[in-house]
Amino acid sequence: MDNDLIQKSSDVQEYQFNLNDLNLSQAYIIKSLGYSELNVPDPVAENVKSIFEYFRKEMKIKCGYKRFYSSDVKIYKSNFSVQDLSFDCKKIIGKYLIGSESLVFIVATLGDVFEKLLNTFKSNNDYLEMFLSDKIASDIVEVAADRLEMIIEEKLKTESLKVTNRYSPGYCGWDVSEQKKFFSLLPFGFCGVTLSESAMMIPIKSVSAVIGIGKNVERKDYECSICDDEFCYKRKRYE
Amino acid sequence: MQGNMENIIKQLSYCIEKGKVNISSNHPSELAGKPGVTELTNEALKLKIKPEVILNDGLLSGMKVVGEKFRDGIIFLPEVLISAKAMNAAMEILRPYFITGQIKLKGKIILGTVEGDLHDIGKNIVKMVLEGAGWEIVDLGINVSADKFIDAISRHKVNVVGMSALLSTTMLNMSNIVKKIKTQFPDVKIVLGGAPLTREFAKSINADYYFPDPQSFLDYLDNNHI
Repeated sequence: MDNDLIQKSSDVQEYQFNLNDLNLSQAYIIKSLGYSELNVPDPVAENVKSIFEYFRKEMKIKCGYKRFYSSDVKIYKSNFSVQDLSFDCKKIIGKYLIGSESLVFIVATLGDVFEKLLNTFKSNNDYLEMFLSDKIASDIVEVAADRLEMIIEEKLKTESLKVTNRYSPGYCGWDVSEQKKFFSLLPFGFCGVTLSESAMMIPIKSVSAVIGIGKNVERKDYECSICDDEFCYKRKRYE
Repeated sequence: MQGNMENIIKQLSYCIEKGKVNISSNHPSELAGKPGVTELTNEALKLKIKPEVILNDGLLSGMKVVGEKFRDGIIFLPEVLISAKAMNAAMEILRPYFITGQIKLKGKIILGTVEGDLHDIGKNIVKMVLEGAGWEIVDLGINVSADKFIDAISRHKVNVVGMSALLSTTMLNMSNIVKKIKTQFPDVKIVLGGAPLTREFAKSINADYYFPDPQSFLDYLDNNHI
């Protein structure tokens, strides 16, 4: 199996999900807003329900990954390189990737359904709806990336390999401008995601990340205590 | 009569706190079928209650309670937005009095999402909360350059500019914008907001403040007599 890994140079997969395929409920969203089902205000509960149902009906979630094998990958304490492109991921991420033998780049996106809905709310000055649709879409894309991670993890188990957590450009000290190099290693328009001049992913609700693969790596929690971004969403999500 | 007036002002404040826009709003259920902010504001004007009293003792007093509850973690941002929506409905009714100068807003603030960045949900939410608390907002929109900020400061004569960015790439553009504004308007306070920002970053580029949520920005404005 390992010989087979070394001989290959890359491996690309794309998937399409809808909301029903994900382990995400309205109750989870209500909770992530800070409420319990008993104290949620009616307009919040009603809007979460209608936005969630709209997304359930309309949204086609695309996810995919590209695997880079050990011959293409070098990992150091605070940076790594793939096919001779160097990524300055900084020490928080570098520390967790160390020991990885190969890497996977992942992308997940909700497509343009969110933006279309958001524009409707904007044109009506519906600020509560804007806020809630943004929050729900953010939750969905993260859970979609979780789902993709599970698929990758399951596949790798057959090769007796384990995975690290996922780490995204723009977080844990890794500059988001490195998205440009990140996407240059993926097929153009991978999963329908492109980058703006300022390295913003389009569609907006998209996630990109690197995952380390190896026999001895571990999925460790984010070490938010040593990061200075006190309001980072990952801190809230993983606390 | 006096008692009726006091009662209306008290009801107005409560309806703002609870986000009851009008009689047909079902929220909150305890006020179903009862008049909301729209009806009560009109009723107060009919009773010749001064618009200034309606604004300060009714509407803003309700928003003050909302702000305190948010600060204390009793309510969350969605409830602030529900109340701000009710507040804006009342402000629409009072608009003619603002135009004639019978009542005055607390002051004027410029808001914009910085050059290179197209994200405006956070900025729009800040706008709604500040407007709901009696501040006039000059919204420059998204992708705003230093020159556009400077032009707006000159024209509107404001003391505070709020700028947002959602990306760690576009937040770097803030440095140049802050520098240019401070060169021409050293006394203008510059407030930053947005997911990737920190207090340390704001300090490093000589911005005056960073606020993680609209309520803390509002508290700063209200408490510093801008």
